[in-house]
Amino acid sequence: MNSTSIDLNSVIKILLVDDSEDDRATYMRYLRSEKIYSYHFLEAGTLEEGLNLWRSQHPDIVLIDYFLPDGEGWELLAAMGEGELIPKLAAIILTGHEGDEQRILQAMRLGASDYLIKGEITAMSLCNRVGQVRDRLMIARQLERSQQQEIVVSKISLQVRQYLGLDEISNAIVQEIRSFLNADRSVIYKFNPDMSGLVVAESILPPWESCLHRQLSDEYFPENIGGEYRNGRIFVAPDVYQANLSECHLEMLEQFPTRASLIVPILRSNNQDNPLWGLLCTYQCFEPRLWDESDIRLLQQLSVQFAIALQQGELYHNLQISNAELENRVAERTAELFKRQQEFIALVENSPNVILRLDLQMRHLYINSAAESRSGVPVAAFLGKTFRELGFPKKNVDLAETVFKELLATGQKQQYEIEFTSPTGYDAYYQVENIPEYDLDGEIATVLMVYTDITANKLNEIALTEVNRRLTEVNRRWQSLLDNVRLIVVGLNRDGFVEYANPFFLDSAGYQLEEVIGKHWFSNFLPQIEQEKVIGDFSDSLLNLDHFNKYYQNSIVTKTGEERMIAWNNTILRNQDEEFIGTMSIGEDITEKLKVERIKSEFISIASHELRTPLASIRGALGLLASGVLDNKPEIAKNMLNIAASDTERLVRLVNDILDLERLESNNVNLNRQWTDMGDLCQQAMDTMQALAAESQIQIRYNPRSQQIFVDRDRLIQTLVNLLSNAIKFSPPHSEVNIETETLSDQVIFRVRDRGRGIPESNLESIFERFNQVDASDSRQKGGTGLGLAICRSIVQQHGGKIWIESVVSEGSTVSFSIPYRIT
Amino acid sequence: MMQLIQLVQLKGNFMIQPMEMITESKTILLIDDDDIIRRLVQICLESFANWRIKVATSGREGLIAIAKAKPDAILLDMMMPEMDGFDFIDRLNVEHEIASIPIVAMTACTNLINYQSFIDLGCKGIISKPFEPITLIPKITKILNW
Repeated sequence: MNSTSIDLNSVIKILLVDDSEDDRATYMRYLRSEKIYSYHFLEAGTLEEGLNLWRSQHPDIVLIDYFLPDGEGWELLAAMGEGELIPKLAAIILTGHEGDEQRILQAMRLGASDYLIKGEITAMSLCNRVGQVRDRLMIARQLERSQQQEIVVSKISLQVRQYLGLDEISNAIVQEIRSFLNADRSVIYKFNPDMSGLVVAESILPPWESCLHRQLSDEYFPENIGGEYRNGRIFVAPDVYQANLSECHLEMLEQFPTRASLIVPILRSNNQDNPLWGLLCTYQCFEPRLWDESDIRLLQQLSVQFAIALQQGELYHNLQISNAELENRVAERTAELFKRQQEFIALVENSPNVILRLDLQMRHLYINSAAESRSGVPVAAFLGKTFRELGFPKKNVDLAETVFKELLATGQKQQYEIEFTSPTGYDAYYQVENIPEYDLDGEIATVLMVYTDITANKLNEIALTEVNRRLTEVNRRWQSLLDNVRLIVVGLNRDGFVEYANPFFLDSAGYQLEEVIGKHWFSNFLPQIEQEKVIGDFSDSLLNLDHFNKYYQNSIVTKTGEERMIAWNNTILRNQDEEFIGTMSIGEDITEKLKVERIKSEFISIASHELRTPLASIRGALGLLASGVLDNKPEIAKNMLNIAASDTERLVRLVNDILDLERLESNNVNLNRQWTDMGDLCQQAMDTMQALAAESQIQIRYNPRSQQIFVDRDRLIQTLVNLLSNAIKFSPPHSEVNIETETLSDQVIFRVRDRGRGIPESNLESIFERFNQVDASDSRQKGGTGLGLAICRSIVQQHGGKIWIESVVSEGSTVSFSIPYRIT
Repeated sequence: MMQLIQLVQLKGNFMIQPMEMITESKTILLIDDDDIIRRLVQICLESFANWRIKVATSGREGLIAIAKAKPDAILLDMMMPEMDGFDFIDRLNVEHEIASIPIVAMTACTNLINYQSFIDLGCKGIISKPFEPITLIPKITKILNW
């Protein structure tokens, strides 16, 4: 930065080129009369001298006498116009004659500013003309200087915009200021937070000592001055000794040393709390200096530029930090991604799953190593080929293609299973998952296929299915058993509520399933009277499961209120943890069995009574005879013998009847059926009984009617004889017993009617039961066994018919039986 | 028939001895619906002991007869039409005055259960049918502790 800067404050140099020394003195005297401006004069007597002074001293204004001993004024003007260093000419031509226009015109063309006629020159005219030139010159200079200043500021501003480093900009600024202002020293001073500070940039004219990097204590900057700087105050001191500065301040300034100083603050607009960053200072070290306004403006402009550079620097710094952080993060992330990718690749390559990536034409883009080991096809062979081209089994390829199309159509992940036998013969099941992979536009770009070996699961599944099937079969059998068994099955939970009841229970007890399930068994299905006891027994059993009451009998109540005795076989149900969860009871309805047993027991009781009674007679009679007590009583003895004989007979009859009845009722008798006329049967029965009837003075009447029936002749005669015998026994003497027959479309009816004492209505129902005579003493008196009607009923039933009795007490009875033509 | 008689004779010879010892006069009420049994029992008791026998053909008749006869014991057939032996005992127990009369049951159907049930009813003992005429009295006296 060594351009010649224009010093506005320097004294105006006027070169006087005139061969007349007197004239020169006159001009100088005139010009010195000027009050406002003072001039410095250079004198030359010849053209050559003038040109030399011009070249060496750079005068501001030149006064040229047109006629010079060694040439004409225009020659000097022409010579002065040559060369780079010559500033705009400020020359006034002095000519001897008025009207010498040609010369004046020539001089003006060569750059002269004005002319004066010699002889007419007065102090005033000269001062005016010089003043005019001087003023023009000053304006031109000021313009030029501000132009230069603008250039300096622009240059700095450009540097600032070029993001040059702060040091570089600082140095440029101090350099430009010092050079532009022709100052001795120019520095940038930076404040620390405690108002101490440091000189961070300096430009200095030798031989002055550098103060760069000098640290200044805060005491030199009292708080008030700092505050003033902060408010944008500029410190202008043409002469520091005239500036009313404190001793301390002067002491500080003398360190540099300083005579005149111009100081502007560097304020950061982006830091409201502490805008004062530092100071931009320029100094004259030895001489006082009047600081121009443009000087101040330059410093202000540059301080603003510096502040911009500072902010920019901060921003740049921050940006750099951010960038560095970003770069670090990118680097970390990249490293992480790389690591992940490595891990992922390792994972995929070491995965037991077959992993493929296909393009949209199903060509392999990537396969992992498992694919090779599983398929026996080398990895390289896969790439760019489709399944079909690789010759995989058609079934698998077809399925894969179908699923692939489905995936492309729907964009949905697909899953299916295949069976595949590897070249090594490993028969495997795979679960295949097709996963679409999308590009940035959201279109399916590739498809990932993952084959998971599910052979073990599959085999387990197959085994499980088989187990389930068997289990189901077993369950079905059990269910079928429970549904069809002719036994009651009831499941209770541990609180006695019904959890299961089989159809047989529902059928036999008349309940609907919903009337039973969830109901408390004991309070709903047991007779009131038994409930307390059974609940007690149930609870007791549960208290000691080891002594659980396996067999139990109690009654249940059917829907119709009927009580049925059930023999239970109870089982404890336990869960897998062996905890008691309920009971399952299988029950047999033993009501009928008990009834039969009771009847049987009664029959045995009665039969034994019936048998023992004649035996008692026989034994008693014979015993008496044997004892000899009747030896002297032949009548009684004979009577005893008769008793023994008759009861022996009775005993024989009884035994015969019992055996006969037993045979009939146990269905051990085969009827000897033959076509017989029913009239004959009646006749024969009547003939048989005729003697007894006559003895009892009874008349048997019968109107024969002929009808062929297919019956056991002897059994039917036995029936009729039996009925006739009863009728005769219970008929009063001289009465009639009638046999009647009736032929119906499907059956014949036989009737035996007597006019005896009749049978009370209450006895009618049981009259056909064994040993159920109306009066037990009848058996002895009438010689019956008490089994006759039972035998009759059995015979009629064997023929498919019915037997019944109608009777009116004191009027007589009619026993009827039907014999159907056809046996069903 | 011959075998049966021989058996009776054998037993008869063996049991003859005790009957001659019965001299005390007792009144026995015999209740049985079977004429022949009734007669046989009557003959036996009157022949081998000096006992007076009153008879009734049913429980109902028996209840009436008790008041008249004031028997020392009742020989009761358990299986009768109308009021049988069980009903008879029930009725007898209702009337305290005569409830103390000892009862010997006669029955053609005996087994252990029946035996116990008769004892529970209040019978002193049981004579089963058929019975050996000459052992009837020893059996009764043994049951009644006469």
